Amino acid sequence: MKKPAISEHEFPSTRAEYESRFPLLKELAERLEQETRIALSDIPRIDRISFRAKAPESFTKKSLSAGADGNKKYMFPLADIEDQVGGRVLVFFRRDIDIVVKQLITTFSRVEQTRKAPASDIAFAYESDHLVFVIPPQVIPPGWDELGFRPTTFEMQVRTLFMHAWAEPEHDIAYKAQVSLTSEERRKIAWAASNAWGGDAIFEQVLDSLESRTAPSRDDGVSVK
Amino acid sequence: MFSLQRVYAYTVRPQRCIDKSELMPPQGGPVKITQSLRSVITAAFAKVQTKVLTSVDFDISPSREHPVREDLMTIAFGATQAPKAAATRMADRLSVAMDNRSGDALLLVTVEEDAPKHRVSMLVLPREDVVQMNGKFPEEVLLSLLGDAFSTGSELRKFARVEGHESRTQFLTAEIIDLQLTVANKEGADFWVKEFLMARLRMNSDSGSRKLVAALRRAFEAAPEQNRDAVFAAMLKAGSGIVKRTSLATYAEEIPAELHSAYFRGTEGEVQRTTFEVNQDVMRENLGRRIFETKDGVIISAPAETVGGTIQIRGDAQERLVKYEGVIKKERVVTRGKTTRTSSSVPSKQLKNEKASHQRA
Repeated sequence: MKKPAISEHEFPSTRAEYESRFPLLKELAERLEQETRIALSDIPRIDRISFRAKAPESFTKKSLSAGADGNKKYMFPLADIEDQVGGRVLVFFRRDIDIVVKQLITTFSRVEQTRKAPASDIAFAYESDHLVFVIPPQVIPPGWDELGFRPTTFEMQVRTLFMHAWAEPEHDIAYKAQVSLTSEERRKIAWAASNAWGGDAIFEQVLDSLESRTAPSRDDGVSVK
Repeated sequence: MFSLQRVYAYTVRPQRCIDKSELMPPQGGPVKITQSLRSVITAAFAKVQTKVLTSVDFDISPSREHPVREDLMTIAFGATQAPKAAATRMADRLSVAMDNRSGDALLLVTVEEDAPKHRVSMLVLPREDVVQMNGKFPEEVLLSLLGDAFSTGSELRKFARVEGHESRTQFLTAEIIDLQLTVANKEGADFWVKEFLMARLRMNSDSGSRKLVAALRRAFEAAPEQNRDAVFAAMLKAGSGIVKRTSLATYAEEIPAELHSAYFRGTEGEVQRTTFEVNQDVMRENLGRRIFETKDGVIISAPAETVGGTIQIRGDAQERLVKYEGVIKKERVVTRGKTTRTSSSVPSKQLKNEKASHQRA
């Protein structure tokens, strides 16, 4: 497909434009959070639901990033950066992820769904379900339609408390590090990830064990799961 | 401002139940844009009033794939022969989505440009007598069909439009006209949106139903005495199961026009015209009781279906009387507190674990 004959210079300063619309994005985030809370209100073992609008500094940095081919990744960042509004759902147990994701897909129109996992079976690293949804009409704040280029989607992450407990400090270290991590440091971080994975796995085993002893019995005395 | 770039037209036969090996390919292709055709199409699109459009989201796979969306993007942005091939695939897809309840039809696909945005519109004009010669449509036939469709609106039963720039974030939503969308017959209602466009209603059932509950409550609270029964009838109908799909704009026809400003208050344009499936449980749960308070402080909380039955309302606009007689099943004494005429809007539920967490803290 041919690229549209248009230059980024034909559009207003991205950063200034983003800052001017930031209050609208925050309002959109609040409305999406409320909509998500209602949608998930009958699901147990959800620790928290939170949404945020991407900070202007972070947006600007991302808008200037390059793609794999070395060219500017986003031709129209105000429309095409998908995590301008992002949400996160933290659940207690690994098994709760699928339940939450299923309900979210019923509630919102899915555009993309990925289960982030380590690249290799013998590695430990970031784990989370990532989803991209279309922004539904019922959460669009007044004034939204007056924006020229505007996002059509928002991102969501669903993960366990253990996954989150590893991901947040790891992101902080990776983001703020002034120097490259050494092999030993990377190995230590991977070790922490393995513990988070282990925590989730052990809780799953405990739940399975508890359920096998509390499951209702049939008349013939055979326990059913 | 969008300007017309390309037009494709196809005769489409209903072939849903036909074996794949026997499918007839659609006849048609690109149409030469004359000044007359440009004028008719431009005028016709100007008549597609925003208020009659509803919107749907394409039902996209986890890996962001969707054959209809991809063909629409190729029609919009593709080079050389790719747009024509994609338009032909759309005609093919429409043909196998149509069953014998439909007659032959004309599928018109147009591409407009307002750089960097492109807009693709698809119109189905149902006609038994679509004429074509050697795969080409005489211009006068197209002009006549378009003129008829848009002058009366009666023939324009199916319309879909997507627009955006060339990006993975665009063409995710289509604006449509589908006069069958709200009919009770599910197959008829599903044909254009689900079978052909492979899309879903943009507002989910629970959210749409909650919006309708809130709108009806606003209308009821704003209604003068003489209009209250009309609004209440609309509430009962919404929860009765008769209405399968609707939009706030469509359902506004059920309530007196002077209450529309209250009914629509706080809702934006797209929310008003977005069709959703009516969730009977949400409607009944939130509109299932009518509360009366009399001048001497008596409060009657009546299940909706009893109003007009064991609950009788009489009188005129100045003074209305409520009369009830029934067998007492239970009685209790409670604190004398403040009361309101109607209950508040739908409460938001707090997450169970968050509540428990606060309690632990």
